[in-house]
Amino acid sequence: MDFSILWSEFFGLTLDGIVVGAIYALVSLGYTLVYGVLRLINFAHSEIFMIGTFTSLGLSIVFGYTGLEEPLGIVLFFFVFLVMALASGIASGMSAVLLEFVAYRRLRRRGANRLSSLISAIGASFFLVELFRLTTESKDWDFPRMLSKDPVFSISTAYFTLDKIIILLGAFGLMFGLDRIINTTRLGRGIRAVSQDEKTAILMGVNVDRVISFTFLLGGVLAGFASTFYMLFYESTKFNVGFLLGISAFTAAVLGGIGNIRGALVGSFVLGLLQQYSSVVLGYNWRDVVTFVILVFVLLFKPTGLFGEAIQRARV
Amino acid sequence: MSLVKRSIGVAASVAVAFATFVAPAQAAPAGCNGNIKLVFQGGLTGGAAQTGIGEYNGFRLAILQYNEKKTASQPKVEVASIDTQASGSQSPALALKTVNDRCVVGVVGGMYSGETAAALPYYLKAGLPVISPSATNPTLPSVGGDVFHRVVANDLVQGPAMSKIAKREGKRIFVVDDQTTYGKGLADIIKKDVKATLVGKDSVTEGTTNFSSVVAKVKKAKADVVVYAGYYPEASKFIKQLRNNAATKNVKFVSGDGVLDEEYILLAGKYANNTYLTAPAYFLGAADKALTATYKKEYGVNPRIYTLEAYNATLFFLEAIKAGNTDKPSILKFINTKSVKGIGTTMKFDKAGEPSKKFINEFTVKNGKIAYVRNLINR
Amino acid sequence: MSSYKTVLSKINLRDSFGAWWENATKRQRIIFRVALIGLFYALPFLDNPIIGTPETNFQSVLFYPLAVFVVMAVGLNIVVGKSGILDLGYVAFFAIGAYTHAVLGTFYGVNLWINIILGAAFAMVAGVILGLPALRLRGDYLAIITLGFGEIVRIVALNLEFTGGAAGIQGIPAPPNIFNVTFDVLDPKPHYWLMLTFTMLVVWMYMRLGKRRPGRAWEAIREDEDVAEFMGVETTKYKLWAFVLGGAIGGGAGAIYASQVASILPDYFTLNVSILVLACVVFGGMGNIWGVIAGAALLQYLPEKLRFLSETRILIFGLLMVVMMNIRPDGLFPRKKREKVYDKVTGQEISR
Repeated sequence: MDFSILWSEFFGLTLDGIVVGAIYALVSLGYTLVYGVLRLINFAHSEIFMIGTFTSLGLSIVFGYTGLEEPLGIVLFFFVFLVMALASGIASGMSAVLLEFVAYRRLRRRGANRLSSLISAIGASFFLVELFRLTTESKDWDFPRMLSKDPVFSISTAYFTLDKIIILLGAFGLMFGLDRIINTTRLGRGIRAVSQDEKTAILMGVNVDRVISFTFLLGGVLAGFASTFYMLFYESTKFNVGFLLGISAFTAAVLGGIGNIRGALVGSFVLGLLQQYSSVVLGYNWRDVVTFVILVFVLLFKPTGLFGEAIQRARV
Repeated sequence: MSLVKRSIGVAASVAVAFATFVAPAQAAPAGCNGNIKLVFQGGLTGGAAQTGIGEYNGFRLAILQYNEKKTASQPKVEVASIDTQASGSQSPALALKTVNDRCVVGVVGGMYSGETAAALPYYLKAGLPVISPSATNPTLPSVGGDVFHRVVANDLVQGPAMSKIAKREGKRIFVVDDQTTYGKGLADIIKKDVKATLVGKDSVTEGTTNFSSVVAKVKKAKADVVVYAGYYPEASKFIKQLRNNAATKNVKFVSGDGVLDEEYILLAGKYANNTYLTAPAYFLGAADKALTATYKKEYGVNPRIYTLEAYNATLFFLEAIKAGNTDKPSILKFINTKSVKGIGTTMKFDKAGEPSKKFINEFTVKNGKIAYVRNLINR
Repeated sequence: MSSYKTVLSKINLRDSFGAWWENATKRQRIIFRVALIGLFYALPFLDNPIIGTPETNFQSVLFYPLAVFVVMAVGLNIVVGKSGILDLGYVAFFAIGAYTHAVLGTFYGVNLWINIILGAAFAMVAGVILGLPALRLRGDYLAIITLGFGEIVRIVALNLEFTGGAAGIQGIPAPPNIFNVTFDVLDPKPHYWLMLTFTMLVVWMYMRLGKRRPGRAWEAIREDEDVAEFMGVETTKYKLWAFVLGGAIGGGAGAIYASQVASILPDYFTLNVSILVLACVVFGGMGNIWGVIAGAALLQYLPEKLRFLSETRILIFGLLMVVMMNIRPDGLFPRKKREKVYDKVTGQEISR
């Protein structure tokens, strides 16, 4: 256990932890929103994210940027990045809506028990992972360096490169936007209503089907944007990229209190930081164990998470 | 129906079923019903497929040429392959299938140490001779016993070669491994070798994409040389992240045969340049231009690393067959005792199945292409 | 749309077989059992183009994945099917059993018979450690915890020297000969028979428990845990019992598996395996042990038979799970009691 690196690199690790946490936050919102309205863990959400990464990758190939030698000019970069983010958002959003329709809607209508829905979710997740594994030949796919990664400024060991700044600003902007949507729009109110009490919401005239589709759409779009941020930061994707990222994002949601939006955000940043710190202290290979152990311990000792679940008791 | 009639009926149907099902199985001949086969074991799909396909092509080119040039009295050899996806998890079932096919007289493979180790117990039990073109972990002979051979020097030779480069290029060495059979074995050897100048170590897992904590450690240790023991998917990401960090962008990067592949350059882009790489191999392109041309014509691609070694390994089997050996024990005896001239070298195996001639070459990447630098070890 | 549903619902093999069974005499039942068991033992000899697997060794397939998954499905059925405890980390118990034999057998010379018991015991201990705190939780949370546990076991095995790390453990010994039968790496038959015997013991034990208080308690817990508690069923004790028993079965199977396969890697014990076992239980008919066995056998046999599809095998599994849940959520061979289901929107009863 080596704590000396932790101290000497503290600012750098913290910055990286926050950036990673921001990406987790966008994805964890998808889990938490769906759980809020459906009490269902959308196992396949990680694949919604993965679809977004490949959308961005595909666009980079279409634009001819594979094997790019020099970064693009700033203006061109912003334009391209925006297009990619929007495209990924749309692709992921629509995939999420389709997923709900195919895998969950019927079960919901029949009032099937949780086990059946969860298994359907797992099946959908497996299907998507395998589909992409076969079509992408199990390879790593690289994303071109479109933006220079020289630090713009730095605080101690924290190097603020342009991509990190973009991710932070973008993520916060999106979260703010989500907050507005949930609190002011009609569908947003519908989401809150269905989360609180579905039956009463129906009685009050809320179109539950539409609300649920919208919830999936929102989660998917956020995951789509997150996926483009991810590609910008990590510059590579693979068919199984969803698994670990999904587990981390889900752990973050649980840590904050599943169903609780603010909890998901806080949980994401906390988890991002913990992952960075623990990987220098314990060694990178133990990092995933840390994530799982956090997950297990939170569920065992405080299943309602840091901020408590929106509604509902967690224990039997 | 009375009980007696019923039970007779049941017994009769079971007997009939047995007869129809079991009898045909018994009637099948005990020996091989067709041509003798050689099997290639490696990753033909999945992340490491490029290397696997390169080896497989070398393998089948040798057999193709043999079949074309053989005399009427020499048996035809059939090409077969099993795709382990370079992972050990598929090896047992595939190895068992290979072993139970009575027409199989030899295996060229596995490609990576892990999948080879998982299959060897089966081959050993069946007395099926194995010649691997690229599995370099030193423990394989103890797992594979009498049947295991390889045409490449193992990591006990490659490790010191890598250490040599590391010590030559810097004074503070940092070693990273990927915890695979190959990577960890190699790293352990190197760490022992550079002990005095070792300033730090770390381990990652296959599939790692985020090396920032490793980079932080490298930076803290003020290392000037990083040795990575693993494969190219991870190495390509690692080098990128090293070069993107102001503190570590000029560290020298040394790696081994698991990284020496065109895919590495494809994935790492310009960051691959000036990497120091070792391999117990030569490139077919440099060693035999005529054969390379034939290869390109047949398969439409350039040969890769270990294509030459796979070709040579297959040649050994074919020479045994040419000499009149067509069953496993006699082929095994031939391999254990004789020497065969291959492309660029003459091959003979020692008691452990290791090649009697061991060499390690140094390569680098210049302008996006793999370039041979020098021979490091030759004994 | 409704026609195929009604057709599907009419295909109820359980009931038609059940009808014959009810009317059969004791002698007929014994003959049936003997014939069936005899058939299972004779399977390795029935390798032929019709029922054999063309591209892989049939006898090897009989052992793994068939027998292994059947016994794991039986074990998981106790947890998921009978008691309604969703376990997504079942592979952990399998791994614990396998590594028990791998480590103790290879490095300390302990023989397989002891290791089967030890493997099951360690798995049970793990089940208690995980189960005591975790089983208090509601379904989804429990599922995720078990998933986390499964992954933790795998990653720890991957990282520890003691378990061989990423290279795993090779040279795992097989048990010494009994009755002149050699347990050999090349000949899967004895191991298959061993696993078959183990499975039958497990099934026999399950049948006995299932009819008695534990079985009824498990079903009560599955149907409605709160009501069961209210009615005096000690839910915590029985849930733990189910969980631990399932774990023991997985552990024992793991030890036998390690013995046959002779070398294990952490790679063999991924989340995929847990999901596959779950798919067998769900597909076969949750709670119905014969359905589960049939489902497991089918799900493992068909991909081997159709190996040209094997690349897409997991793809089809995923699709199958989604489709099964939507069309026939109770599995191929549903258990006896079925609840009435009403469409949420229209309030009409959905006929099955």
